[in-house]
Amino acid sequence: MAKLVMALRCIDGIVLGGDVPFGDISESEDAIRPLSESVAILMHDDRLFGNWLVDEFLTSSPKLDMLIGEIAEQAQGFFDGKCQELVDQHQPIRLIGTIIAGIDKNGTGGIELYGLHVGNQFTPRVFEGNVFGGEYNAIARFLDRKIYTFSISVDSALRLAAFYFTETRSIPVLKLEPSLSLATITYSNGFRNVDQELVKEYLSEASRWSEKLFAACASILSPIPDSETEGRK
Amino acid sequence: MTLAMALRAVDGVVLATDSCITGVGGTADTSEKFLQVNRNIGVLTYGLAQPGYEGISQLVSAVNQNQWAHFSKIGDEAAKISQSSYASWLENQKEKRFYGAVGFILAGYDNLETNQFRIMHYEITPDPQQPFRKRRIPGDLLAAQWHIARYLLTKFHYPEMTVNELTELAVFLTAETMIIEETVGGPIQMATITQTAGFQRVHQQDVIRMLQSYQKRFAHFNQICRSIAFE
Repeated sequence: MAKLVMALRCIDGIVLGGDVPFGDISESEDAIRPLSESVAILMHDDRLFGNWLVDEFLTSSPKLDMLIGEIAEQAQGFFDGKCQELVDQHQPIRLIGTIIAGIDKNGTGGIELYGLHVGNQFTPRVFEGNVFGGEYNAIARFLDRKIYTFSISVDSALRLAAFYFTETRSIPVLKLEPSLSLATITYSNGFRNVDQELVKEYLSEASRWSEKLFAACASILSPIPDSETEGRK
Repeated sequence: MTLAMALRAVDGVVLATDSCITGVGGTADTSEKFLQVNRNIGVLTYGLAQPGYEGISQLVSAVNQNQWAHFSKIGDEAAKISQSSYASWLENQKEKRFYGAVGFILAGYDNLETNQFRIMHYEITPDPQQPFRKRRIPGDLLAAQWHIARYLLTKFHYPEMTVNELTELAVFLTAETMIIEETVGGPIQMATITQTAGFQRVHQQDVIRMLQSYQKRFAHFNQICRSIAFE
């Protein structure tokens, strides 16, 4: 199960992240899959069912050199149809949500993010900001509201994604998968998976940030001198 | 949904919840989510507002009518009443569909049996595998939209906190959750339970005063979060 996936907008592209099992995983087990050079899909909740849907979608030879909104509509029709087939065969439908993220090279050239969820027949929902999916996305949304800025670069957003994952994972009852999968879509290089060795470095850095945050929080409950907050008034 | 919590201090228990009610027509900040059961015990509800409020009202009436005093007795009866009120509410619904969960938190000082502060949690869900859960909570309980509050609690809570300190922290947790979760909002409803004073509702003016006095801390926390990354 993927309990936390995210797509972060940056000035030079998009950062994609999702929790995944530890160790080497095949493409069809990942939470992030490329659909084309500039478009990817993230799966949350039942990741394996989501990957099965994506495999079937890609096998059906969809038209992917289109506007991202049109790709999302194609995916909606296909996913909903597949689920309907399962219903007709009296098979259970799993809980699945997806995020289609990309640079709209065939349209505005901007970043576009769409959410599709089984709960509303995969009807595409446009997101103007960052998108978080999965049952345990609240802490990531909370931190994103505090830290994220529109002028962030892909390099910095990769570190943020690792920090959101680390902080969510610090709550033991929120059982995320133990590892993080990261990918980027940039204007210059298109879709790229981030090497796991580099992900480990980001996670180490995120752990150091966590320690700093924990230490700094102790000062919140202490009385704050007026002079410290005057500059922000 | 909502944010509901029962937090243990060295000298008592703090109960807190928001006032947001969510339905087909949208949200409103009008829900009454907790009641005093007797001198030492309070009850609060979250989830489906109507069966929740009916459940806690019936419990308070039953305790008053029957003069139940023992925490364990009230706890057992709360389990029965919460289930029966939900079942009768469900029976009266014209539309037979999937409804959400409803939860109850019973907390207070048990002065007759254990001389301890106790927290009980009851949850009725549409899940056929586990339609009813009754749990004794040894630590703090956060329910419904609890992820952000639990995260902040791990940063700010320490075991020696007093009821007064924990009351202020509960305001902080609720206010920070409201910023993110659309279904948590409205006036913060709070009560404290101590051995000496029993159940005491925290007045809205005091909650507002705490929110105002916390403004610098909110700002300080935001500044820390921003500075932690990339410095």
